[in-house]
Amino acid sequence: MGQDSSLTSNDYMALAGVILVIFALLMLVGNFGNLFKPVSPETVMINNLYRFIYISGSAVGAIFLGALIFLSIRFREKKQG
Amino acid sequence: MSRVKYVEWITIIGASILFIYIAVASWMIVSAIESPDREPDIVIEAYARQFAWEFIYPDGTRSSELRVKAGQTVELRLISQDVIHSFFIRDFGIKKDVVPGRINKIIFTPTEPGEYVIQCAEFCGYGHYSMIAKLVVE
Repeated sequence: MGQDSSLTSNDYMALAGVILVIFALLMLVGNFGNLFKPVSPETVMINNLYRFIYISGSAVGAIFLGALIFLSIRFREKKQG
Repeated sequence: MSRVKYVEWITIIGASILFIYIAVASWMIVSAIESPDREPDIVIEAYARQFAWEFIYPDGTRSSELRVKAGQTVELRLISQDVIHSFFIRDFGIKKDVVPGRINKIIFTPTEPGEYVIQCAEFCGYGHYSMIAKLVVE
């Protein structure tokens, strides 16, 4: 209780850093959205759409997870005394 | 406008743009796959039955193997002789139900020579797991 609830520019930079790290991890785990090697024009179209959805979904997920992790740590309850 | 409202509007507008783009792109891709504007080079009938695939070529040849040429636009007419099956080639992102009493069509253009696995993707009985055929792109 009694914590400072305002965020400083360092906090925003830390938040951005956490988000970027999570986004980079998701990109590496998912091979940048390259699900399979396209073997026909139809699979090229499907792969392009999948890649867009994977990258945009990763961005949204990274923002959500990053904010959750950052805020959990930044506003954790500190021991008194 | 307060900062909170500003963030809220950015989220709403950003998510809306994202969803609209995904919806439009998906619709265009599904339309292009389902009804392509090109004519097929070859029409092959694919018969599904418990637990095998059989392909009949325009010259009447029958085979348990689907053999096509790279760059050739193939139309497959999917016909079931018993229960519901599903024609699935993972590498091509193709999956379509094979329903008794109707003929479903798949049009695709393989470009990479190789061998690919055709599977049944609808549980069709005790031997479902063994309902596998080979697609050879020459």
